[in-house]
Amino acid sequence: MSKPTPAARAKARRDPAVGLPPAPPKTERDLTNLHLRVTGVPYLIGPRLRKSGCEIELTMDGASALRLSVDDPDGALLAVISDEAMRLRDGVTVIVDDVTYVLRSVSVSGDGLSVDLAFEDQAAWRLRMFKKYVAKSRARYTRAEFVKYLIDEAQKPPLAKLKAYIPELTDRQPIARA
Amino acid sequence: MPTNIDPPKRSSRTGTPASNVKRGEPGRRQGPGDATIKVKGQRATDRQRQIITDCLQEASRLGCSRRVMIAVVMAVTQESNAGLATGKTGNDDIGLFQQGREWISVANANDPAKATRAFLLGDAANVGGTGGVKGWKDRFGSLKNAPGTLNDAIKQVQISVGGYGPWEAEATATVDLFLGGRLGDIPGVERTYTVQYLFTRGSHQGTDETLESSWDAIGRLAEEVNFRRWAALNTLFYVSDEELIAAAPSVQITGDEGWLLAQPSYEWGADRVVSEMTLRVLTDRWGVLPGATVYMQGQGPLEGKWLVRSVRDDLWSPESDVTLTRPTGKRDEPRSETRTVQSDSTGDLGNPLLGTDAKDAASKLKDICAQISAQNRPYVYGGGHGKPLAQITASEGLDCSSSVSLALFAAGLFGDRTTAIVSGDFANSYGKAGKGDGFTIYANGEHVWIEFADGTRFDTSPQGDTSGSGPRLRTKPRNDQARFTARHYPGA
Repeated sequence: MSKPTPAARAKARRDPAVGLPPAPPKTERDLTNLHLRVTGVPYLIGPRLRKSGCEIELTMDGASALRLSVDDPDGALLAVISDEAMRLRDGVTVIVDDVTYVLRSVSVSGDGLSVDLAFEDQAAWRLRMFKKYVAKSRARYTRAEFVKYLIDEAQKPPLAKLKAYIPELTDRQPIARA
Repeated sequence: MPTNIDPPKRSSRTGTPASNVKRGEPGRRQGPGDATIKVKGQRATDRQRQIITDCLQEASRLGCSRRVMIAVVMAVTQESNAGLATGKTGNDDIGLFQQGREWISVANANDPAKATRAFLLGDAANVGGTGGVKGWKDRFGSLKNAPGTLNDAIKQVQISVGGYGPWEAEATATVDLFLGGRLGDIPGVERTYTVQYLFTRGSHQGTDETLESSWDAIGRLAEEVNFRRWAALNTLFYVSDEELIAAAPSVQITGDEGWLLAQPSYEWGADRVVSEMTLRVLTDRWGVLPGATVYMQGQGPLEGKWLVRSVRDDLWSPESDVTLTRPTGKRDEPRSETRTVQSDSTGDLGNPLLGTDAKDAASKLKDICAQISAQNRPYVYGGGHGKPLAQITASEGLDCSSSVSLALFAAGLFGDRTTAIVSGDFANSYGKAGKGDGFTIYANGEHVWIEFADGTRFDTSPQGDTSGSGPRLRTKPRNDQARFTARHYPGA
């Protein structure tokens, strides 16, 4: 990600959505063909999606979320995704509107006939993997540059690139007075 | 301070200046307030530790950056093994930084503060040198600058062949401990220092479940200055409302668009600005992302620019709910914190005191536990970890170790720690081993709780008590103390 120049930021203010990622595709969603990917292996769940409890939320308040409610009377789906170590290591993913979501939690309905799957945006899931203590001085980094440092750590090879939008990268905030 | 919890009172006692205090005995026992530092790969002796601390105090007083402080430690490590090898080398180089007479007098060469000042300021240090030398500030323009590698920078100042590089990692760790206030104290000394604000992710303590991740750290960093952090379309956004609202609007809404299925819904009051509203739209006609700007035209109190806060839709429905919000302003960067730490006059640094006398400790702690108990917080595993204890709100759920940490912190019985520790750390290093007179901390790798002398306990686990789970002051005693390690506050 390159540092936004003053000219680029001025241009962004004149022309909306410049600097932001492109809008999602206008193609119709094909939910009947929806697949989970478990360690790279696709599992078709589209035909078993319930008509309630399936929603998607893009939000500024955290990670965008996808919730799917899937019929699973024989427990086959639950058996496939119940390996927590595998979920934490590789992630169980689903792609909706060309956006990859990673499974965060699984809950079984009271009657045991369906499972509710909660997914979050892959960017948030990737950033949750890194927990080692890190400290940087405010004299050498702006707050946004430290955020970029954490993002750069999360996209070091062999990990895939992580997209980020940080237009105020080099802006220094004044320090609060006593 | 946490909401509704009375703050600990600071002691008004003044201590003896460090230079007049007899130094601690070599190999004195380390307590939880200290941290191990290394010099040339070996655990530092008390003398080395004291010299490094005094050098860093002087560097901090002169306004050095963290990187320059690291250079100071590297230099004193290589030149004199942090005070263990100060004899004469070369023409007339002696002392902590192996400085010649043009830098410093013989009498001052082993004084950490003066030798450091000479290293940093050269002639301007005025420490008895004959003059004509350039210190760090002369070489690089400022005590905040540290261009290139530190090894090369020190070589320029010292006019030497180098050899400082191998000590950079341990010097960095030492300086970070110093800046975090964990280099320990000298017996009987009150020390005031500035804890420089650092951008951090997590802490050195905790389990994998409780450590702060990059995602949580970025969220915390954003919240501190009122920025936004979110993930959408597989992209991480970190941006202020001011920056977002400055963009041209993606769409202008007049209220009679075909894709707008109902009039905007919002709450309105005579003395209140409308700050949020919801639109119901046709999903395939709405392509505006969270973070983009829309303009409401001719809508009375809704007129003006809004940010798209969220877009939510049922996967089977052709409709979406769009929430719009007014922008909010940025906050300034937090100031660095000033702390006063006073060590136990007996020299036992089992847990540096912050002004709570031992005889008052139990009653003060019990009052705090009663306050927390009255808040009826839920039990939340991992709750209260990874953030400053002073920022925990009155309704926030806690687990066993964060609730005990919070109670001790609020009562001034937590040393200079400002974040919660886990139960295993209580078992290994809180205070002193054994039961206390007024209260005892019982801890093992899985759980921690407090037992008072009258049999009451502060515990998240009911164990037969009827108050439910969560941090509560309970009257029904436990009978499984044998499973735990007992620790207590010194003297309490």
